[in-house]
Amino acid sequence: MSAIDTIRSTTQGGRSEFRGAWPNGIGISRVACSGTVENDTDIVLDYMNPTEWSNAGHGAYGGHEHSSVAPQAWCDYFGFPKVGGRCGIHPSRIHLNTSRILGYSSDTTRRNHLIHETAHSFGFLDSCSVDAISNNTGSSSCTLPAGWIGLDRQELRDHIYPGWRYS
Amino acid sequence: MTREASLCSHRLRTILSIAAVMGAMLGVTVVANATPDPITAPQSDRPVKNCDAFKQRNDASESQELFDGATGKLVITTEDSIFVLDEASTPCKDNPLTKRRLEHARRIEDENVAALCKSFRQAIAEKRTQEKGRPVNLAAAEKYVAETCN
Repeated sequence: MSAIDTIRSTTQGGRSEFRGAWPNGIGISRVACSGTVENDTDIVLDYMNPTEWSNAGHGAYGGHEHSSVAPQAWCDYFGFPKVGGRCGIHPSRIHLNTSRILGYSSDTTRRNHLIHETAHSFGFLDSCSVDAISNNTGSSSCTLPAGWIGLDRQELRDHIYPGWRYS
Repeated sequence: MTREASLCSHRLRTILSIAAVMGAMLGVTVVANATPDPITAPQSDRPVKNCDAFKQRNDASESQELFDGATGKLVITTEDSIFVLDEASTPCKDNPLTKRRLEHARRIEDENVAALCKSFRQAIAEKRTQEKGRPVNLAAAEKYVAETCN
């Protein structure tokens, strides 16, 4: 199963940890390889070559996430509500160290890496303290996630987006 | 190779569009803890530091970044600290590590602005009233293009 399909299947609506939030699940409505960032683009995966990666200064890691605070005009255009006076994020860009990713030992590791990196776009930070999507291989005891687990869904619902109306 | 990686050779981008509700949901990331500044990530109790404290060790640490193009503030969350950098701050300009991070963030922001300008111009040209099934406020796009786009 691809990273996208794994994210879809592990964030389906009705999951108990969502406690009624997002009844239709976290739907990834469109995946494109166009190189074009559109108004409804939430996550951009930039596959960088070694020169680009080196110039970006992101070290030896496999990925690096950049979120941008959305211009107010973007929220006004779509009528997105402001929460706490803020408009939100648009988009989240993930810089990917392509040569490192291609050097991973298996498709599974590559898939899990993408699942981990896209979790940053949802607001998750790197951590190795518990077995979760935040795991970043920062230590030998820390392994990349194979998908969202209950703890991740609970974290999203209870701590990352507690103020959202979930409509 | 995963499906995603095989689809996109380097320099191309995979675009993930999460359902509209998710777009709005992502929008509350920075306010989830209801603080006036997006400097404290929701699950983080890491200390907040400034440019003076940003050392080589921090630069080399795995991190996530949040940039506000309107204010020039960049929040870098590392595994043990949160750094708030400011384009206008002299200490941030004087520290080559923070200067580089801010310049990189600004370049990304410029890409984002260019993409939004292109999208809004197209919407204006088409006199769009809806996009992705949602009604849109074209006046907001016109104002942004007039004030921001070259």
